[in-house]
Amino acid sequence: MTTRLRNNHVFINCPFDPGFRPTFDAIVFSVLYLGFVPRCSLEDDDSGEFRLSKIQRIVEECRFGINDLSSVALDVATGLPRFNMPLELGLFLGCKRFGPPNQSKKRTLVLDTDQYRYRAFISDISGQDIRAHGGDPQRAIREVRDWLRLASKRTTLPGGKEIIRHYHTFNEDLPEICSVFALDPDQLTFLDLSKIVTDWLRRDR
Amino acid sequence: MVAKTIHVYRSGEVWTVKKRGKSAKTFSTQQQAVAAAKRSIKKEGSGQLVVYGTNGQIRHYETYRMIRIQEHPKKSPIAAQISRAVSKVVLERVQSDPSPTSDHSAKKQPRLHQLSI
Repeated sequence: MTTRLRNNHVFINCPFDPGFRPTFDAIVFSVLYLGFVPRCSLEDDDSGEFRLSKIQRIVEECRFGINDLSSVALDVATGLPRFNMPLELGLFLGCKRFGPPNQSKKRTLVLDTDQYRYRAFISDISGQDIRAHGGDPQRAIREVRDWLRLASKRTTLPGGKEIIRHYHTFNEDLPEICSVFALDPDQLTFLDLSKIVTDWLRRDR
Repeated sequence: MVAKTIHVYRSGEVWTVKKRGKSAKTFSTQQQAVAAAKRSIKKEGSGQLVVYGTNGQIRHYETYRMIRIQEHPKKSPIAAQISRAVSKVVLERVQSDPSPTSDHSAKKQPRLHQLSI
């Protein structure tokens, strides 16, 4: 049976380490603000499903994919590179190319710290939409917004400046919201963060 | 920043209509307050309306010509608590906005349709 491709679902393939958290949160906020649904492997903690199967299922359901290759560097502790993000990008591109006809509608954004750094380690992806955020969450919001505007062809999406302004207000409220549950804003689960952003946007835009 | 959300909430004996950065207006009934909020949104061309019950929780929410914020298909295990906490924090901030209040509660209001909220 062909999996339904969801036109407003966005697969977020990003590093989940603390250093990337501000950029990750900004991307999630931006995607929700624009009326899309962010999806990622952290959304489901069903230990009965293999991690790769879970990712494949999410990839198959999402029309859009944001793939951040910022962390494709040598890990300080192990001295080895991390390949998860390029692997998941490959899955997304492969699904588009070899999947059933509905999967050909997939659109991909590749984000990195620098515009042309990918040439040094994954030059085969040239020709894709590759944009740089320089590790700056605000720049990531602008890039995601501009790309989704073009890729979805939705002409009524608000501008990056507006999203950034609201993101600042959201970040002012977040510690107080989290304090109700005695939670650390930097350690929210993906589903809790998505729910907080969704509810906040429905109350204060 | 131009806020697009209009909040309607109870303040003592009156209902307040408030938009961040703008002066608040008060009305003697919730229906009058909601109708005024809707008129304001339509006049501006787009916006969203949030009506809080006397317990501070959302009783009614609607958008007008704005992008709909989508819910994630998987539910957070603490979704209900999150909704309550977000309502509380946002409402407190709106209520503490220092803009002046204009009282419409004593003025004659046009006849309005009953709202099912």
